[in-house]
Formats: sequence, C-alpha cells, structure tokens
Amino acid sequence: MPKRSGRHGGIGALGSSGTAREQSHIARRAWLLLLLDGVEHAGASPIASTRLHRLAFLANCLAPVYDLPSPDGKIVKYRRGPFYPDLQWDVDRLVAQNLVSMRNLEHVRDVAGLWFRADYELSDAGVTAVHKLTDSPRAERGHGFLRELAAAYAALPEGAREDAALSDATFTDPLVNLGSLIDFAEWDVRNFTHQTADAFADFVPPAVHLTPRDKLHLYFRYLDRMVERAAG
Amino acid sequence: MTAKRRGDREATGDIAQPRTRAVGGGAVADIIREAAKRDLANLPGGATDDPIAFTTVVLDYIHDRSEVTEAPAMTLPVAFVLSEYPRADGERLQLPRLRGFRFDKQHDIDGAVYVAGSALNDVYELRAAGRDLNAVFERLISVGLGVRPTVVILGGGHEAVLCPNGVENEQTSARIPLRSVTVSRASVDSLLNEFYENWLQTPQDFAPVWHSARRRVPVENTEKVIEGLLFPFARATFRTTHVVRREDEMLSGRADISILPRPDRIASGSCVVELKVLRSRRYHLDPGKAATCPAAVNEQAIVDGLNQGLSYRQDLSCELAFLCCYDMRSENSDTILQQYATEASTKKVDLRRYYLYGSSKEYRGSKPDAVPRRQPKKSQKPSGHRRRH
Repeated sequence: MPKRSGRHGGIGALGSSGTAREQSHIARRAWLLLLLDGVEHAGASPIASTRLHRLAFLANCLAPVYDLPSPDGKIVKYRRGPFYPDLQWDVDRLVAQNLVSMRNLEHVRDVAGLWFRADYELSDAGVTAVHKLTDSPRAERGHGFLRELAAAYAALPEGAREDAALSDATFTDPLVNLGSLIDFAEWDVRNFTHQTADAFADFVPPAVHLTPRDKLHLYFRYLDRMVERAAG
Repeated sequence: MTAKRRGDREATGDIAQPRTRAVGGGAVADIIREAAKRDLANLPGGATDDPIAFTTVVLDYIHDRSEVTEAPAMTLPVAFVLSEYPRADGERLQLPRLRGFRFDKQHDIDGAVYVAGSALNDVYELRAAGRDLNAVFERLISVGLGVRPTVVILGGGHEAVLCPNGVENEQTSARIPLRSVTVSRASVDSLLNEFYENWLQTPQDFAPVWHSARRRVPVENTEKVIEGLLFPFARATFRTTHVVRREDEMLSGRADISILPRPDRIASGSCVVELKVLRSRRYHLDPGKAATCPAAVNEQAIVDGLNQGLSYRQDLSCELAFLCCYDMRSENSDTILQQYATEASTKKVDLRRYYLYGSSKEYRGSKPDAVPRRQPKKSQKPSGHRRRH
C-alpha cells in the first residue's frame, strides 16, 4: 500500500482524536460508501483502485454542479493521475470493517516505480450501512448526486472510464505542473470542471434549459470525446 | 475569503475569464459544442433510480439499434430488468457479464433477458427467456426477478411493455408503441389521444392518478404523475428527429413536456405540452376528508395553463402549444373550457380536455348507446318479501 501522511494516524488515532476529526473521518467514509453504492447501482462494480480515485476526483470537482460542497478540493497532480492517500486509507479501513470487499490485490512495477492494484465493491454489510446512511436527508442529497455521477461514469465506454479523469478540465490545467497542488477548495475559479459543465448551457439551443443532471451527463460525454481525441 | 482570493487572482491576470479559460476555445470548445449537440437527445429522462429514466435508456438503445442496419433481427421478446444491485443479481444467477453493452448495437439480443444497472452498459445476460410475453414473465418470476422494474421489447421492436413494479404484478404493465413520427398538430393529437385512451381514461394500476377513484380524489401532485407517464410515450414516438424533455423537478417555470428538433438532425415541427388537472376534490390522505375544490380553482388552472402554454411556445419558439386538461371532476362537462376556447384559439394554444372516469363501469355507462338505469315507479308497493334478520 502506498504510504500515507501521518496526519490522522490510524484507527487508534481515530479513537483518541477530537470529535471534529472523528466527524471528518466519518463524513469522508460515508461519502466513499455512497460513491461505491453508486458504482454498484450503475452496474460498474467492482471498481479498480485507479478508477476509484479518479472517480472520487471527478466527484469532488463536480459536486458544485449539484450545489454540494467538494469534500476534498485539494490534490497533488500526480503522474499516475488523481490519487488521494487519505481516501486509500479510508478504503483500507472500510475493507477491514467488512463494509467494502477487496479482490485481486496485486503489486506491480510501472514506469513510476512500485504500485498496487485492487478491485473494490460494496459488501452486503456495506449495502446495509448505506441504507442507514441515506436515512439522513443530508446524506440522501449526496447519495443522489453520487448515484447520478456513477451512472454517467458507467455509461462511458470501457476505455474512457479508465482515462476520463486524465482529460478532466481541472486536472489538465496547464498552469499546474506535475507534482504541484491542484486547489479548487477555496479558489472556486480554479474548478474548471464545474465551469466546463456550466458552459454546456452556452452550446445547447436557446430553448433548452439544462439541469444539473444534464450537465453532469454531458460533462462525462465530453470527457469521452476528450479521451478519444487524446488517443488520436 | 473566497471573493478576496478570486479578486486577487483576477488582478494577476491569470484567470480573467474563467469560463473562456475552462472551455479553452478552439478545439476544446468544438468538442463541447459537439457533445452538447449530439448527446442532448440521449440524456436520461429522470434521476438514476427512477424507472422512467431506465425506460428511456432502454427505448433509446432499441431505437438507436434499429438504425443500425447490421443489427441482428429481433423476433422474440427481449427483457431489460433494472436491478438496484445488478452485480449481486448477476452473480446469484451465475450469468455472464457483458461490458460496453449499450455501445454494441450488433449484439444478438433476441430472446434474452438483461439484468442491468441504470446505465445499461455492464449487463448480465440470461438467454432463452421465452417465446412470448407470458413465457418471459414466468421466466423472470422463476429466477426471482419478478419484482424488479422491467421493460420488455416485443418481437420486431415495435412495442414495449413497461412493468415499473415488476412482472409479478401484471396489472401494472403498460404498452408503448415504438415508432418514428414527425411533429405536427395531428401527430401530437394522436399521441395524446392514444395516451389518454390506453392509460388514463379508466383507472389503471400502472397509472396511479387516483387516490380514491370512488370518491374522485386524485393523488398528490397529479400533474407530475401524468407528466411522468406521458414522457416515455412521447419520447418513444418522436425521438428520431426530436429532443423530448420533461420539466425537471429542480426547475420551475418550464414547459411540462417540450418536443424540440434535435440539433444533430434535420427536423421540423416543435411543440410544448402543458398539463393541468381539473378536480372536484383536493388530495387528502384520508379520502373521506378530502376537501371540495372550488370551480374557481379549476378555472384559474385553465387560465394559468393557457398563459404558460403561450409563454413557453414563445420562449421556445415552438410552432405548437397544447394545454391538456385532465378532467377528474365528478361532472363530465366541457362548459368550463368553452369560455376560454376563443382566447385559446387567438393565442394559438390547442386546448384539449380528457375526462378520467372513476371506473370502467362509469365509462361504459357514459357511452351514448348505453342502456340507462330504469327509475323505480313512485307508486310501486313494497313487495311481499321481507328481509330476514
């Protein structure tokens, strides 16, 4: 497993840390469970670790389209594509808690060095947990967004699913170099994904009014075309 | 904080016009334009967990497939089952998984069942479902899929059977003809009449518009329910050349259903359809306590509908505007509409009224050739039979 910053310090730290931190952990894991539930619902599970991180990145970028705050608006522009150490930490904990199942774990070496691959899916206990989570109106709103996001993602051709995030408008910002921080958490003008999704309104016939759901689906289809273009 | 930072960024000249920068101009703008143009007609018609959205995805797939000449012919029914957790269903039934299904229009789907998620892309295939609709229903029930929302495309692909509550409940299935029709007053009228006659004229389990038909109490948000029923019907009819959209729950002040030319195809004709419900009673959980709806409220609904129809027709530059009044009142009379007929005609809004009967018996009794009930004679003496207690 890749190393993670020691900021939150493991399960023990979760138990002994302050309430705010605990709530932050819980909120992050709830979001992750809801994302995996969306992937299940769309029929795209199990999802490979690389794709999960990339989809989580797109979820963070696109949440404002649904008027939801981005759970994590900061990410290092990593050479392997979007990757969140904190998210991986949470996935591992959820696997340990039997809320998420892991298949096909393998360690690989690529041009960037040692790495890993695994496939994840919601377990039966995870499904039950999601049902409990969605009793809360706040979680239900996020759930609606994440299910729609996963449906739009799952509607892409297989190859485009892998690389969609690499063609994302925020991730491909030419002003951010590899290894630098992409930060659209407070600098909302840097969320080019959100802006591109909004830009569709300028390109449809004037009679058509796009909903957030429309923008989300159109954005994923735009990514599909961008992936196709990148492939030459 | 954000505003200040945003101001700082703009001051540096880095991001003077965010949207322009995001779009990037040139090739990227072209791709956005292309995506907007080509994909507009393919957007799902509802939220991902809404069976109507799944229905539109299936109908779109069948429609697109019919335009592919190399696609194998369909002679047997094909069923599409919406599963909340398709992997779980697929693995339970040990079905093979097909990836990228919606892009493979040449796959032989004849006589198969597809267990799918809302995206209809990763599906699980069950072959040899059955030779006719009943056999398909039995097959689905036998493998435990009888309660899942299902769309069955009948052989030939000219008709779909929608089972939003699953095939186990046959009463809740409804048929939609699949065809390709251009937009005109006659074709929209024909669609609205067919929709009314098949789905709404008498109470149907698959079209739950009555909370209590006997007491003539409509369900809550009846207009939305009817809109959700009419939408797949309209989409299945006009999709070849038109973008059919319904008012989204997040939008207000939009046409209930709009039928506009597809930007990626050559098409003519456009239409907005505004839906209103006329009622005798308002919704109440307890139908016995449902309050009476004053006539003035119904009249106001007609006036609002006419103004909306006119406004949306102008806003969307549509040729046609229909105001459909679904009449759920006790009295089947078009007097209420007559006073607005001239105004509707002047404003070029086609005004239509469809009366919803509370029962099939009531409908049969309303026919001109129906035998009226004979009134008992007042002078008739009571018979010698006494009721036993």
